[in-house]
Amino acid sequence: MRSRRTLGDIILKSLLRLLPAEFRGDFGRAMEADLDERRDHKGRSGTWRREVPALLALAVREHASVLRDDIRYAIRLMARTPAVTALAVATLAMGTGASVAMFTVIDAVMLRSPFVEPERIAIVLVNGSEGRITAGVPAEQYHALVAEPRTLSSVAALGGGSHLLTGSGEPRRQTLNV
Amino acid sequence: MRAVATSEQSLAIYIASQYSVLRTMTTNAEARNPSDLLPLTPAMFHVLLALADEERHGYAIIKEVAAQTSGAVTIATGTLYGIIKRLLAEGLAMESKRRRPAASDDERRIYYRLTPFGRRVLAAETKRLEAAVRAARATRMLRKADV
Repeated sequence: MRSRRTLGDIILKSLLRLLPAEFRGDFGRAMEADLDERRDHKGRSGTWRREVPALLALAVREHASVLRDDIRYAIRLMARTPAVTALAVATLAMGTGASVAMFTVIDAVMLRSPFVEPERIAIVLVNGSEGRITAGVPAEQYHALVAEPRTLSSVAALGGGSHLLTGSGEPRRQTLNV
Repeated sequence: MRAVATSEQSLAIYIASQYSVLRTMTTNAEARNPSDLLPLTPAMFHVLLALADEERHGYAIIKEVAAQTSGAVTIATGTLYGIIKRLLAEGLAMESKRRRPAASDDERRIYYRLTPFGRRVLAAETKRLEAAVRAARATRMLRKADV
């Protein structure tokens, strides 16, 4: 009499699904019948210990075999139609080359920093009026930072805007970017 | 006038082409030298041996191998069907259409039997193993151990 199917049996049979479809088509049902019969005669523990590693190894071997056959078939097909193969290879080469060239330009222009060690650069922000955080550092604080070399190895300020230039001659409005 | 094949003619052409393929496979197997496939793996040798006397299905082969080796060799189902696939591809075994009475059979089973080429390979491998055993027994160490 056949024993009742357990979760272990279902898992064991589901391992058969790891096999390539062609192999399952040829031997899948016969393997199921053998697994049922072995379980009925030998008990479950022996079946698991022997069958699981063997099924996994078979699945790996069979998929490798299918891959090998596919590669051989592809090579034979390419050898039979050299013009189409050459066109496909040239198209792939041009596509790859264009992608690499575009990425090289984008990387250099947009992604890569012009500074040598960008992670060591910091922007100094201060608490401005009404508790707002701003990059407008007052001159005295800037000079204090310059005079304190332990915090930052060097300090530079960036300023700009529209200013009225007076002195000799007529006053003149000058836009500065320093 | 264009000739159109009737269904009977199509069937005859199909059978003739299949027969031709089978005959080519058989001829190729007959023309091959059994020693080209030697040495066999131990598992493959035992499977061939299990099929030597009668055709068997998968689990019957597993049981026969265990019986022939007093349980020393146990073949898992996954291992067996990898071997069977190779035996079929090499023309050493083939599927058998003969079945047991339905009451004592499982319709999912597939029965296998040796081909004449499979028998020749089995015989060649047996001779090779006999020669290896003779050589081993002739060594001084094994003579002392009295095997």
